[in-house]
Amino acid sequence: MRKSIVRCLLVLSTVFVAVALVACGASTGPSEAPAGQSSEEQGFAPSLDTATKCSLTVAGNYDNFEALEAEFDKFHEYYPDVELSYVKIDDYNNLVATVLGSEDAPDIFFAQEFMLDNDNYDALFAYAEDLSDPALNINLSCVRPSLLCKDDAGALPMIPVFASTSGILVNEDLFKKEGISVPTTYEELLAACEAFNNAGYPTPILAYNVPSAYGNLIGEPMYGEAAKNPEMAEKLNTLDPSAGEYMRPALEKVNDLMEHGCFNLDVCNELEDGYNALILRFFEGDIPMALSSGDTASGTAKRESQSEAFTANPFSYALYPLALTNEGASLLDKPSVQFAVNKEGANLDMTNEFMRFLVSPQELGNIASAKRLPPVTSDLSFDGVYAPFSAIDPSRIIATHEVGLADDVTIQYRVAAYKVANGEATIDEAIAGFGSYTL
Amino acid sequence: MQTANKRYLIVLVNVAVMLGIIGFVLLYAQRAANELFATEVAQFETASVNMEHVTANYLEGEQSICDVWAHYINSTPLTIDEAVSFIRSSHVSPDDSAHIVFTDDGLLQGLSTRPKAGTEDDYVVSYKAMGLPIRVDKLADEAGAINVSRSYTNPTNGIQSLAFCNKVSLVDSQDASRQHEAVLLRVIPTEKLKEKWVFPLDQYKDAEISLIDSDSNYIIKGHEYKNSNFIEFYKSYNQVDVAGVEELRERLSTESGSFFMTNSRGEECLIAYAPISANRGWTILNYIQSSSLQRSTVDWFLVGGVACALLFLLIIDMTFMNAFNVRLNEAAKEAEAANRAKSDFLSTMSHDIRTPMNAILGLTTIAQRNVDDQTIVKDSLYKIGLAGNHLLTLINDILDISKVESGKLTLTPNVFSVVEVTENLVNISQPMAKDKSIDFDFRVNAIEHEYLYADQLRVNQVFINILSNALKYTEPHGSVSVDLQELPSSVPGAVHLLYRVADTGMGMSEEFMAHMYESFSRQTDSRVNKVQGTGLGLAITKQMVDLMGGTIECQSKEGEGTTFTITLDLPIAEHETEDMKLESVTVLVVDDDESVLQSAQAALSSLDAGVELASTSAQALEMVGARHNRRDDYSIVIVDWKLPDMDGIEVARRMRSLDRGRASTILISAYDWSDIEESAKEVGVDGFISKPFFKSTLYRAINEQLHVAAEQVAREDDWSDIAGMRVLVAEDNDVNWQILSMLLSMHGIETTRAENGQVAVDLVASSGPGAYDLVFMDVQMPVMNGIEATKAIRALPDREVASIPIIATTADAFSEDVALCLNAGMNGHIAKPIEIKIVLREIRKVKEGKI
Repeated sequence: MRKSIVRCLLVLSTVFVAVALVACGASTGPSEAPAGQSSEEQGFAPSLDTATKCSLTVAGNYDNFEALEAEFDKFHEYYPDVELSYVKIDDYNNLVATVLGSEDAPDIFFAQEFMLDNDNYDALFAYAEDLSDPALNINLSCVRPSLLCKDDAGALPMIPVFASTSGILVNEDLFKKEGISVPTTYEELLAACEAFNNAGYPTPILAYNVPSAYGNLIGEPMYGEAAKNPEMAEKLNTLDPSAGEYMRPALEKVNDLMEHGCFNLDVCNELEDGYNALILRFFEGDIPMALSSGDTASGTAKRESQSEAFTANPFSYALYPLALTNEGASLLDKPSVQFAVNKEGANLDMTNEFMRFLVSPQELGNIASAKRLPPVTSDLSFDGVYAPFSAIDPSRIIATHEVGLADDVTIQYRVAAYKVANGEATIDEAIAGFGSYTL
Repeated sequence: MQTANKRYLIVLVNVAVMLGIIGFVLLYAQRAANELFATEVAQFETASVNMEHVTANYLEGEQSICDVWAHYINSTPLTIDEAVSFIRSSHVSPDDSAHIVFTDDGLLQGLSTRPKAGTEDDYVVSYKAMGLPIRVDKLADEAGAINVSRSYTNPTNGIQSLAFCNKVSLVDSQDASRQHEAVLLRVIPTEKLKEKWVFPLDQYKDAEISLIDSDSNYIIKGHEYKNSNFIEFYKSYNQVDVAGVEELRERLSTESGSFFMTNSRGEECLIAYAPISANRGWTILNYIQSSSLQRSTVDWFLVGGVACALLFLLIIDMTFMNAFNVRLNEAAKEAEAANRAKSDFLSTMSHDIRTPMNAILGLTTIAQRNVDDQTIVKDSLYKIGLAGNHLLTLINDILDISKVESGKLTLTPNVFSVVEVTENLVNISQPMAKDKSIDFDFRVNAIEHEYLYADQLRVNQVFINILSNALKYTEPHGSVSVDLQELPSSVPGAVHLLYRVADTGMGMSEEFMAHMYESFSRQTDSRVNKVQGTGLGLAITKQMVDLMGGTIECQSKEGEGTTFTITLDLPIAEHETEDMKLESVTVLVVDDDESVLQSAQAALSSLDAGVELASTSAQALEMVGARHNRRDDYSIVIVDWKLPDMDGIEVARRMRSLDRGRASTILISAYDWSDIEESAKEVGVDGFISKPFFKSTLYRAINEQLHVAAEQVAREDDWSDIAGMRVLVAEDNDVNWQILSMLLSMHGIETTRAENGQVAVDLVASSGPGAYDLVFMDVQMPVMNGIEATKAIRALPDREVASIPIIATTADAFSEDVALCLNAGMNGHIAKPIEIKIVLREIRKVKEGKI
C-alpha cells in the first residue's frame, strides 16, 4: 500500500512537472511534424528552416480556390511563418504574362495544356521553372504519366493539379428504383434511355443545350478516332473543310442518340444559366442522367445544400463514363488546372518546397477531393463521385493532349454536334461547315 | 490497520488541499482570463470601429482627388488625350495611375496615364475582356459619394488594384461636338492600401483586415480569409442555415459588432465588423484568433512551480512523517518492550523479594512461637539471616541497575589488592562449587603487581558476577575454570588484567546472547529458574566494565558451556610492600597441573626461594627421599590435595615417613579444607593453602610454617580490646538506633544517641575532647543531615573535638555516596544494613589509631 502511495505521488509529481514544462512552451525544429502527426503519417518532411518567413502567392483564374487554401493551411503547419495566398487575375489568359512581369508577380501561376503549343504564351512559359529537375525532388511519379505535359525541350513547365474528363452524372437511386443497371455499353445506354422514357421521366439524359456543352458528348469519338489516326489530327488541325468528314462518326452518334430519345431538348432548354442550373435540376431527383464535364461534377458538392429538393430527398449519385461504343467507355484523360512555378520569384526555394509538399498522392487527392475534380493521381477512387472511372481498363484511357487536337477543332465538333442535335443542320450540312464554326 | 488508514487519510487530505489550492488558482485565473478576454473583445471591437473611421477618412480623401479630377474634366470640354494629360500632370504618387475608359461604345477602351508594362508609349487600356471593376450604373454623382471598385487586375501593369471612379464626359477627338461617356478610374495598388490598413496597436499585430462589398466579396483580403466571398468562407467552416446567412449579411452591413467563427483550421477566431459609413454596403472586417486575445495573466511556470513545490513539500512531509512514525513506532515498541520487561522484572522481583520476605516473616513467626526452643530459634535465625542476605543482594542489584539506567553510576577508585580480590572470589565461590561438586579451578598467572588503583567494589562485583553466573548455570559435576593473568598494558603505568571464566554449563542461545547485556532481560529456561538471581548481573557487569574502559567478550554454545573474558587496564598503585624474601628456603611443589607448577615456581623464585617441582606423587616422594638421603631436606613441601594417583594426604603421610618430618608440609586445596583438616593434621600436614598462588600468599604461608612471620592478628571473634569505647550514634530511626546500640553494648561499647545531626553537633561540641571516641553518623536525618553535621563538627573551634573520627552509617550505599561522605570530612562509610563485624572492625581501627 505504501508503494502504491509512493507511486501515486510520483504520478502526481510527473503530471505536475509535465504541466509546468508544458507551460514553459516548446520550441520548433526544422524537422518537427505538426502536432498530432507522426513523421510516418505526414509523408512530408520539411527540408528548409521551418522558421523561414516569407509570402507566397498563387495566381489563377478561379474566383475562389478554397481547396488550395486548405492546402495552404496544412503547409502552414510545417512553416508557420510562411504566408500563402491565392489571387484571382482578371482576364487571366491575356494578363498573366503582364502580371508575371510586374512587381506583383506570383510565385505559382496557373497554366493550361493549350498554352504550351501557343506562341502567345511563350512569355508566360519563359517564367516557368522546369519542374522535372531532379534537384527539386518533386514526386512526379504520383501523377498519371498521361497528364504530364512536357515542352519541346523535354522540360516540364507545369504540373497538373486536377484532371478533366466528361461523363454522365447518374442518379444511382433512380436506377435502383427502376431496376436498371448503369450502362457500360452503348446498347445498354440506349436501352436505359428507352426504359426511363417508358417510365415517364422528363428526359433520360439532361444536357445544357449550348454548343460548348456538346464537347462532353462527342469527346470520345473525336479523340478516340484521332488517337488511332495521327494523320486525322493533323488534317483536322488545319481546319481544312475536307477534314470535316472525320466528324461524321461522332455526328452520327449524336443523331442516333437523338433519334432514340436519349435527350428531351425541351427539358434541357429550360436550363438558363449553365452548369449551375443543370446541377440544381439534376438534384430535383427525377433526372436519371446528366451530361457533365468534370467541372460540372465538381460543383455538385457545394450545391447539395443549395438544393431544397436534394436536402429534402438526398440520393446517391456519381459521375460515370459515357459508353458510346459496345466495347465500353473510355476515359478522356485531360489535365485541367496546372501549376507552373515562377522561376523569377523572390522565394523560389520555398515555392519549390510547397510544390514538393503538394505533389504527393495524399495532397493531390485531398485538393481534388475538396474541389471535387478528378484527381491526377493513379487512384481515381479518392472521391466517390469519380470512383466509377477507376473501373476503366487502362488501355481505354485516352490522353487528350497527346492526341494533339487544337482547340479550334474541338469547337468545330461541338458546334456541329449542337446543330445536328438541335436539327439546325443535317449531318452532311454540319460536316460541310467544318472550319467555319466559332463559339 | 487503523494507523495505516489514518496515514492514508492524512495523505489524501494533503493531496486534496494541494489540489484545492491549485484548483482555486486555476479557477481564479480562468475567471480573470474570461473577464480579461471580454475586455479584449470589447477593445478589439472599438479598435475596429476606429479602423472604420480611418478607412472612411481614407476613402473620402482618395475619392475627393478623383472628384476634383472629374469635376475639372466635366467642367471643361476635353478630349480623352487632354483629360489624361491633365491627370498625368496632377499625379504625385508614382504607384498610382488613372484610366479613362469610354463606356458608350461597348469596347471599354481608353487611355491610361501610365504606359503599358513593357512599353514606353502605349497608353491604350482596355477593360473589354475583364469588364469594368465597378458597375457604371451604380456610380453615384452626388457630392461626398464614394465610388470604389472591387479589387481587380490593372490591365496595364498586372498589379492588383482598386479604383476610385467617377463618370466623366469627354469631347470626341475628331468631332468636338460629340460627347462621349466615360469612366475615370483612379487606380491604386491594393498593396498600397494594405500597408495603410494595418492595425495600429501592437497587441493586435496578428489581426488581419478585410474589406468586403455589399455582396460580401473581398475588396481587400487578409491571408486568413478564405474564398473570394466572406459569406462563402463563413459557410464553408461554420454550420449555418439560410436564415443565419441572411441574418449575418444584414448585421455586417448595418451595424458594428463582433462574432466568433471557426476558421479554415478549425480554430476559433473573432471577427469584429463595422460598416463603412462613407460607402454604403462596404464593411470592414477585422480578424483575430481568439487565442491571441486570451492574454493569460497566469504565470503557468509559477503555477507549475507552486504545484511542484507543494508536491515536493507533501512528499518531504510524508517522508519525514513516515520516518518519524517509524521511529515513534520503534520507540513505542522499545518502550513497550522495556515496560513489559520492567513489568516482567517487577513481577519476578515481586516473586523474588516475596520469597525471602516470606521466609523471613515465616521464620520470625516460628521463632516467636518457639522462643523457648533454642534449636528452632537458632535455626530460624540462621535461615532468616540467609534470606536477609539474599534480599540484600537483590536490593543492591536493583539499586545498581537503577543507577546504571539513570547513568549515575560513577567509580570511586582506591588502592586495592588483587590478592584480596582473588581470595575473596575463591572464598565466595568455593562453597557453591563444593555443594554442586563442580570441578573448580582458579589459575593465576604472572600477577606481578598486587596493588592496583581502581574501584575495588566494582572490580569485585564484575568478577563475582561472572564467576557466580558460571557456578550457577553449571550443572553438578561440571567444571568451572578461572584464569587471572596480568599482561603488559598499552596504558602507561597500568597492567592489562585478563579475567577469563569458562564453564561447562548450559550455555546460551545466540538470540539471548544478542540481548544478554540489556537490562531487565533474563533467559527463560526451565533450568535457569532453578537458580536464584535478578537477571541484572550481566547488564550491571557490562556497564561497569564499560565504565572502567575494559572489554567483555563472551563465547557460548547451548549445552556446551560459556566462556566470558574480561580485560581491564588498571593503574598500578604506589604501595609500600613488605620486603618478602625466603632466602635459604627450599620448596618442593607437587601438582599435576603444569600451570600451577609454573605459577608457583615464578612466585617462589621471585622470593629468592629454591624451588623444585614434581608433577606426580611418585616423583615427589622420590625427590623427598633423595633429599633426605643427602641430608638436605626440603624446608617446605607444598602438595596438591587432589593428585591423580594419590591424594595429598597420603603423599604427606609418606613424605613424613621418608624425611621424618623435617620438611613442613602444606596441602594445596581449591576448596575449603575444613572437611579434611582433621585427617590431614593427623598425618602431619602443617598447613593449608588455597589456589591460586600469589607471591604474597605463598610468602605468608611459608613464613607461617617457618615461624618467622609476624604474629597473626588476634582472632576475629575476640573484640575485647575495644570494650569500653564510647560511641555517639547520630540516628533518627529508633529501630536502627536500637539495633546498633544493642549490638555494640554486647561488646561492651557505650553508645549515646543523637536524634539528628544538629543534636550530634551540639553533643560533640558541648562534651569536650575525649568524651566520645567516634561518631556513627546517619546521613538522611531531619533538622540537619549527616553531611551538614559532619561539616559543622569539622568546623568546631576546638581542633581536637573537631577531629573526632566520624563513620557514616547510611543506606546511601553507592560509591558516590561514599565519596560524598568522605568529602564532607567523614573517616569511613558503613552501608546499611549494617554488619556488626564491619562496625566492630571500624571501631578497632579507631582504637588502633588507624583512623
